[in-house]
Amino acid sequence: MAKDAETEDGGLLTRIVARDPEALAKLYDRYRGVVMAFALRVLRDRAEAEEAVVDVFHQVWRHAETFDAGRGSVAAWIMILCRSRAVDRLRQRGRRQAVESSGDGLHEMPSSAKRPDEEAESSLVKRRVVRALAVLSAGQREAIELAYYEGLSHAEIASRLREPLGTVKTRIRQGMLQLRASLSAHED
Amino acid sequence: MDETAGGMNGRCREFDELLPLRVLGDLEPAEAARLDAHLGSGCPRCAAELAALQESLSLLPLALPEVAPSESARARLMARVRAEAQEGRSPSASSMGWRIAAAAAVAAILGAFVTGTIVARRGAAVVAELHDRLDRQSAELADLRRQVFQAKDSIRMASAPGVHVFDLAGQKGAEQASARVFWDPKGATWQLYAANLGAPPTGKTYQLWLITPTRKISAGTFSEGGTTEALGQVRVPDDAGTVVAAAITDEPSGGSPQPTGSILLLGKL
Repeated sequence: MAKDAETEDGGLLTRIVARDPEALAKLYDRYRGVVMAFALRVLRDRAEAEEAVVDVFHQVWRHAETFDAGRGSVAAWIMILCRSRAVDRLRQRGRRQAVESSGDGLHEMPSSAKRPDEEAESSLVKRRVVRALAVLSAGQREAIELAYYEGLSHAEIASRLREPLGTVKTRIRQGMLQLRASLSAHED
Repeated sequence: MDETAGGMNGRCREFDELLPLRVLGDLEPAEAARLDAHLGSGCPRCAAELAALQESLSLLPLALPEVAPSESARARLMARVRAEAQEGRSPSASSMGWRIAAAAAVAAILGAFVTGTIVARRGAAVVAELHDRLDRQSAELADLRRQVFQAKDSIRMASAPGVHVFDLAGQKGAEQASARVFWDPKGATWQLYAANLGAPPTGKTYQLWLITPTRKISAGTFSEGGTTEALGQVRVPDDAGTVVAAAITDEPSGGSPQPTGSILLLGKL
C-alpha cells in the first residue's frame, strides 16, 4: 500500500477502536466502491452485495481491535473480511450456475463514487495491482480469479477449465509468486 | 535439530511450493499438516513469505472497476454503528456494569499484549466471527419463520372454501394500481396484495371497504404504497346484506367511519 494512505487508514482504525462513528464513515467512503465491486464480483446480485458491504464494515466496526498491522495493510484486511463474507454467502446460496454464466455486464456498472482527490490517492495502488495482473498469463489469471472470487477448490477449477489438476496448481503457484514479486517490487 | 524448524536450510525450500497454494485454496491434508508444523515452529522466512502472498492476493479487488453502493446501504450501516456507539457510552449502565466493562477492557488490553501471538489473535477473530454469524443466522431464522407463517396464512386464505376473492382495478387517480383482496367471512379476516399503488400523501392513509347494496363497512387501513401486502379483520353485520364489492379510498390518517375520499381501486365480487 502507498504509505500515506496506509498511515491514514491506521489512524482511522485507531479512532474506530475508540468508538468514533465518523472514522468508520470515512473508512467506508474510502473503500465502499472497491468492497462493493468485490462483493458484486463474487455474488453477482446487487442487493446481496450491498448487504455484504454493510456486514463487512459492521465487522470492521466491531472487531477493529483484532487488526494486526504486522500482518498486512488495512485495505488487505478489509478485503479478507469481504472475501470471507461474500464467499460464505455464495456457498450458502449454492448458486454455482449463476457464476458459470458469468455475465460481463457487471463491468459496465457505474464506477467510482469518489472525490477526485481520494481517487488519485487510491489509484496509485490500483494502478500497481492492474499492472501486476497484466503481467500474468491469461491461464494464471483465470485460475487465480476462479479460486479467489468464486472460492473454487483446485479440483473444481480443473474440472471447470477441463485442465489437469497439476496444471491448475502450477498456474496458481506461479501466478501467485509473480503477483507477489510485482507488488512488492513496486513498494515505495 | 528439528527438521521442520530453521530458516535458510534446504528443507525450507520445499515450502516455497506450498505457500502460494496455501493462501489460495486447498492443500492435501498431509501437505497442510507439514506446512502448519513448519510455520508453527516459527520460521520467520516462511511466515513473512506467507504474509506477503496474502497481502498481494488481498489487493486484487483494487483492480476491479469500482461500483458505488446505494446511499441506503451507508444509512443502514451508520444507523447500526451510531446505535452501538451510543450503547457503549450509555450513562444508564449500572456502575457494576461499568466496572465489569472496565475490567474486561483492561483484561482485553493485557490479553492483547501478553498473548499477542498470531494464533491467539486468530482465535479471537474466529470467536468474534462465529458470534456474529450466530447473531445473523438467528435473525434470519426468525425472519424465515415469520415468512413461513405468513405464507401458510396466505395459502389458507387462497384455498379455503368460503373465501371470497376481489380483483380490484385502479380508478381515476390510480390507473396503474391493482390489488387482490381475499376475504374470509367466517374467520372475519382479510388479506390484500396491491401493486403500483403510490404511497398515500402525507396525513392520509388507505382504507379498505366492503360494500353491500345498503352499506359501506370499513375493513381497516394500511399506509404502504408500492407493491404491498396488508391484512386485517372485518365483521359484516348480519343485517348489512350481501357484500357485492370491495373498494379502497384515501382517508385522513386513522381512517374514517364512512368513506370521504375518492375511490382509488374497485372490484366487484
